[in-house]
Amino acid sequence: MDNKDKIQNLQNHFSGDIFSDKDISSYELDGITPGCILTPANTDSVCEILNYVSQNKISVLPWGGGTRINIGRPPSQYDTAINMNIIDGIIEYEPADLTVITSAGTKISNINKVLRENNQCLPLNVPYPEEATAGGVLASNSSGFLRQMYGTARDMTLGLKFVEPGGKLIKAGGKVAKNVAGYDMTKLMIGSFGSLGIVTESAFRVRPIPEYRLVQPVSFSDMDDIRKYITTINNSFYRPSYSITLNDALDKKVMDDSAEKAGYVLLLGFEGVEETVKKQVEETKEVLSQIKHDLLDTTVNSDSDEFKDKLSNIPGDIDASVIFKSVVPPKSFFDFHKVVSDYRSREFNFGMYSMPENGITYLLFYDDQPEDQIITLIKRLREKCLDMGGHLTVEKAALNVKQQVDIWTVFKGNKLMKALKNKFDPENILCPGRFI
Amino acid sequence: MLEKTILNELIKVTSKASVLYEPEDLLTYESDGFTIQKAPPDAVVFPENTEQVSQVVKILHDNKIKFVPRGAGTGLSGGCLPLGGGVIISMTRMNRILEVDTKNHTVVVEPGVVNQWITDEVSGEGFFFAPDPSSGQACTIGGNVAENAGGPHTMKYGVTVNNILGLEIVLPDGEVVDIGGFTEETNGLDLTGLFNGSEGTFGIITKIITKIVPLPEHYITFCTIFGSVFDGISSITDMFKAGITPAALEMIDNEFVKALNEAFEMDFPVDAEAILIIELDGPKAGMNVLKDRVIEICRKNNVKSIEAAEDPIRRAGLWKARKHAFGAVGRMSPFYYTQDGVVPRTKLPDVLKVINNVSQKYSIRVANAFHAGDGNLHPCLMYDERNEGELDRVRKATTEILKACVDLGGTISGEHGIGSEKNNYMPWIFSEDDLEQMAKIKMVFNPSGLMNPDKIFPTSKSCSEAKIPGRVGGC
Repeated sequence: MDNKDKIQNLQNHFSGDIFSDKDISSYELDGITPGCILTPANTDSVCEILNYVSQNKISVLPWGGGTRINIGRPPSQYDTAINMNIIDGIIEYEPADLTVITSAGTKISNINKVLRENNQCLPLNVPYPEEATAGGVLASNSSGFLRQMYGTARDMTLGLKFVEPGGKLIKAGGKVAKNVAGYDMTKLMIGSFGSLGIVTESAFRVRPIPEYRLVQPVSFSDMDDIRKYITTINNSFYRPSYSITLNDALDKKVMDDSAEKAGYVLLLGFEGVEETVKKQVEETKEVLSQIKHDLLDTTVNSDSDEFKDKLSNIPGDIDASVIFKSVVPPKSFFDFHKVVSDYRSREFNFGMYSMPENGITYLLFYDDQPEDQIITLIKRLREKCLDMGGHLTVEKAALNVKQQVDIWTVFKGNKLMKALKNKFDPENILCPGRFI
Repeated sequence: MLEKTILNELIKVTSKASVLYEPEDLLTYESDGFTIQKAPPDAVVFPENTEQVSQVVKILHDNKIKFVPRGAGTGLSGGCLPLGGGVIISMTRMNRILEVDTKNHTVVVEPGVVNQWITDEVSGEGFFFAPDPSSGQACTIGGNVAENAGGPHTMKYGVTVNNILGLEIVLPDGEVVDIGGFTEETNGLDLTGLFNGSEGTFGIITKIITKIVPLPEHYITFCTIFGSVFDGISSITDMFKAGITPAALEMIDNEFVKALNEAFEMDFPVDAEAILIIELDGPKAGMNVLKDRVIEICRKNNVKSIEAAEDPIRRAGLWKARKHAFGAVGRMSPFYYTQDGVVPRTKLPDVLKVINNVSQKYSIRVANAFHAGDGNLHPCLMYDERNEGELDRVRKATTEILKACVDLGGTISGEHGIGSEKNNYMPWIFSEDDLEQMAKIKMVFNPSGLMNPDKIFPTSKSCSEAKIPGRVGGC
């Protein structure tokens, strides 16, 4: 069946509430525009859609807010988009149990608006929370710097429901914090980038909002000085709650230009009971007193949701044309950072956003860079990551680049992953070619 | 009974001292901590390294012989019983700590390493391994991963899967595969997450990359006594509302209180309906503020008495109420059966009402312990198998309790696993489609079905058909 026939069949089968061939260019991905968009209004509709498309071998890509949709190889086939955004809303929220169940299309910011009324939060400070949906966040295992305190989506999700490619609704996990009944399909689905099923509902564990929060930016001219600080403070009981480094290409995205800054800004977050936070700050200042640095004015850059949102957006910055995410074991972070910085000083200009505690560095390119140089850089940095026991993912790049270099680092256990994909999606209709 | 040729092959790839096959030697392995059910193996093999595990598995796979891995055998759901015969592959000789990297916060171990050994190894450098099941002095890490074990401190530190970064596994056909690695960030599908809790049905773990966390500076342990479970639970709810996340919240009910007084002459008030052990840990600065808040919250919820301790010896004394609870029951009843259900925390008083009713209905004394922070309950049903019909009433009571957990929005196992004990209850919480999806996953790892069959998924047999009763472990 050719693409035109598929779209015609979809139009014949689904009502006008679900089927649309208008505005399809908004769903363009890696040079391919789908023939139509299907917008299910509820889970039953998702089941019906997947049942139909799998029987008719029509390839689909589920869409949430689109904030992470770029992550993946160019699809080998892309007949229709499934817009999950109107299946939204809080299904159940029990503040006393610290649990919330939401539909997949619910925006992260909307979840937090509700939780805030009870002084609680879902600490997934993902990029663009006003657009990112619960389902999309889980599909991509997206998280932010608060992972250093709370873990990632993987650690916060108690259970979920998903529609498997054949159209059956499947339950994974539940809504209680401890649950070992059956296989952990929740973990399997999180970070599967929509390739095994479409998440329709998720149960999260929420957290109380810390009563006292402070961010202290510190400027350093040399990464070695940051290394000295982190190495020393990590031996203390009063280490910061989280730490992020920004190079000079990025610091102005969160701080105003009036602050005097050298090569790097280290943002130190302190959260908890006031007495603890004060002691943490005191300890940090004591360690810093032995290291060359500048404490930046916190009143200018105080802890606020706006500040945190700006900081959280950087890893997925829509203004960046190319984004890499490198991960190395934390003990190798500074060595890897040096390698990356050397490339910057010699050949490239990019922003660097890092979380030393997790060994993660995002590289963000804003200027036009010759594609062959980007490809070479990917290969070299990936090799370095692999040597150190890590991996590198190209989260955003031009189509030409994605066609010439794999955006994913080779997966350990790839054979098992392929077998799981084949078992779940034998017709390969879900996001074909993008992930496994 | 295994054929001699197979035995010889197993001996050849391991050693004579690594294979047991005489009936009297196999008796020890006929059950695990779930002693209600017994299933003697045809042989037990003790490989000492990954290559031997792989060779052993290949022999068994190629000869279509069922096999099941086993750690220390402390499991409480029959997870390592070779139902219908087969070979047990005991991992206890693979018990080395291979690599300690406190800079990276990782420790690489073999599966036979005892849980507590990891903390013992790294505590001198200011770290510990957080998952701490009550059997931590005996259970092995491989078993902890297989069951996704929990313990009292999971509310703050997570369960086993949250503390495991990677695994080396031998698949049921003998192939050796590495999954995960030394970073928390996964690359590809989360196979490590999927493998945790697979109860020995996907593969044999031969190496584990564990995550260690920094030891807290300070601890405060409270022993609080309440006139009702409801008041104790309300205190917990209020603590969470106040932004306090204790490291541990352990509760025992009046039946356990009576047992402790009777068995160990502890002096708890006889009207103590609930004892709640609360533990805070973290930086010392600010702990006094949290301590005052906890006391205030407990008083607001009608606490009858509250004692707080900060020195290690006194803290250990306060923990005795919880740690000796099952031992106390063991001195009062010749047999007891411990269950493992979960409900949303706010439903704990409701499920306790059900348990009280069930206890009266079946004339079975039940004492209850809870990991109260996460709603994980362990009703302890006391019985004497010599009394006709008593074990049968225990099984019926257990079924009703677990069903109530499900009806209240919970599940049938929080940390012990499904095994052969509860596999036939799985349809209470999973539809046929759900189970079929899980079966697809199992087919990927274990297509022959030879590895640890008849576990997790419903079968035509159930544990109520097992004829041999016995004492079962506490938690």
